[in-house]
Amino acid sequence: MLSNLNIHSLPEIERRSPTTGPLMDVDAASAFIASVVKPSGVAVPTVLMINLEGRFPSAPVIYELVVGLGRAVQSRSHGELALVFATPDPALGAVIRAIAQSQGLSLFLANSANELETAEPIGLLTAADLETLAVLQRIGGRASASTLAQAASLDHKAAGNRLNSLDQRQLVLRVDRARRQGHMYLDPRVATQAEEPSDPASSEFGLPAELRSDISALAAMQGREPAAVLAEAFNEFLEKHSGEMAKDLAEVAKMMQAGDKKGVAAYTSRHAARRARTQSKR
Amino acid sequence: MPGACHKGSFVCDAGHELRITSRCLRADLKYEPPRDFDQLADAHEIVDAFRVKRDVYPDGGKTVGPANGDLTLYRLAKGDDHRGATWFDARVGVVWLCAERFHRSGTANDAFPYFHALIKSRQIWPTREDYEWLELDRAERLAERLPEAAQELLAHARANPNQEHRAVIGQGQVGVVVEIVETLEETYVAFSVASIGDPTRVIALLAAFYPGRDFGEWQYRNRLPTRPLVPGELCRSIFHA
Repeated sequence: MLSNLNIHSLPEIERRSPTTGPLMDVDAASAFIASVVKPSGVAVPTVLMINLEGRFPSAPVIYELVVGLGRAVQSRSHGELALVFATPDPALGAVIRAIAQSQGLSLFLANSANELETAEPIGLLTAADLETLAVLQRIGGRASASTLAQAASLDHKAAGNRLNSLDQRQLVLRVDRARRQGHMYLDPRVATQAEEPSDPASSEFGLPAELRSDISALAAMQGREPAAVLAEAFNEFLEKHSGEMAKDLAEVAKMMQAGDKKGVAAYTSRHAARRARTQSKR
Repeated sequence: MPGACHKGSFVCDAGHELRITSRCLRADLKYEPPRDFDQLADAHEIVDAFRVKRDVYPDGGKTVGPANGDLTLYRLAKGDDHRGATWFDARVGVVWLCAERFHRSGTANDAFPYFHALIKSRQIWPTREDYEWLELDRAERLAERLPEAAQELLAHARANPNQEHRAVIGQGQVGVVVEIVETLEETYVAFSVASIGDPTRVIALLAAFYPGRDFGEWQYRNRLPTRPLVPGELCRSIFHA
């Protein structure tokens, strides 16, 4: 049976940054766009976050970045991909907002690369768009048309139309499901770092990645602290694998009684390579 | 002297560790990694400065290049001639010495253009190899401390029952309470899930307290007898005649 923690998946986030310092070269900006938006597209719903912290783009460069990336993402030819710019500079934020508005692009703007959840939707947005995104965020960032209809007191068709309209502009990411279930729509602001699957060794959570990505969303939905949900999930993991844990404990106890410190170290570092792979991603 | 060297780390009393990236070891200090920290601290002035200046505060001072959020690098100086770039990875609690070079403004080999080139090519930050060594060193440190640290903590708790006793074992604090009811003794062990980080470490920890007992005998508890658990904390208890 599926745990209540791993029923759905969240979008993955890919953080990319141009080189630090002044950005004056439009050709370099074009090359950067080509390097982050591949023709093969994305296989899973993905949020592309462009981190401009510590970067100082000239007017032509910021125009190229916003319009080039915005159009590439909005063409929908790269799959379910949403775009977020991150900058703590209010002046640069205002310029990005103005370019998005004038060019008819829809995207998100965050104050920093670590503040995706509070990113602001920008571009040509109606009051209904903003309301729909706010409701979607309030209910945990994932909804089908019927869930949204219930949460926003709309009829099913109106909710479907609203989600479809946002999906056309990549302001929500769609997960196709069977007609009976209805498509699932994801708020890009609940995206989490892509992780290796089946890794019970993360430095952040120490849990299998398939559980970890859902913890923040579940905690938000339940109005609890992620740390409390994390501990509960960790305990669930130990219980679920109690047979394996019992075997391991017996072996480790034998090693300790025999003074085999190398054996104990080898046991507790059995996930070292996977943990290192996760830790080295930034 | 506060703190202690262990394998590739200098473990500071403040809780973080100091380490040198493999790129810095090979290219800047001319050593093949992995290399024990204590060998380097005596051999290189910048490593000695690293230990002295990042011992209490993991970052601060002037930056190398513009501030870059969580990836900001900080300048390390020793006298007029030696410069380093350090980065604090708060996720794992490690300050890395990422680069070192001789400093003489305006010269072709000056430290800062070199550091900026490494930032631009993204080679300055630690790699998977560095994190793997970190994990292996930490596993070895935990194995060296267990089971003695657990037994020492248990002895304190038994000597003063119904009170919580805490100690750092591995990467995080562990709290133990021994409750005595008539002839039965119940030992509660509480730890932070985020700092313990891996189920294998939970198993090693429980085995260190009671090596002869089965995992199934450790019961889940939603509080310590002395206090509720803080968010992120997990508690197990075991009966002992």
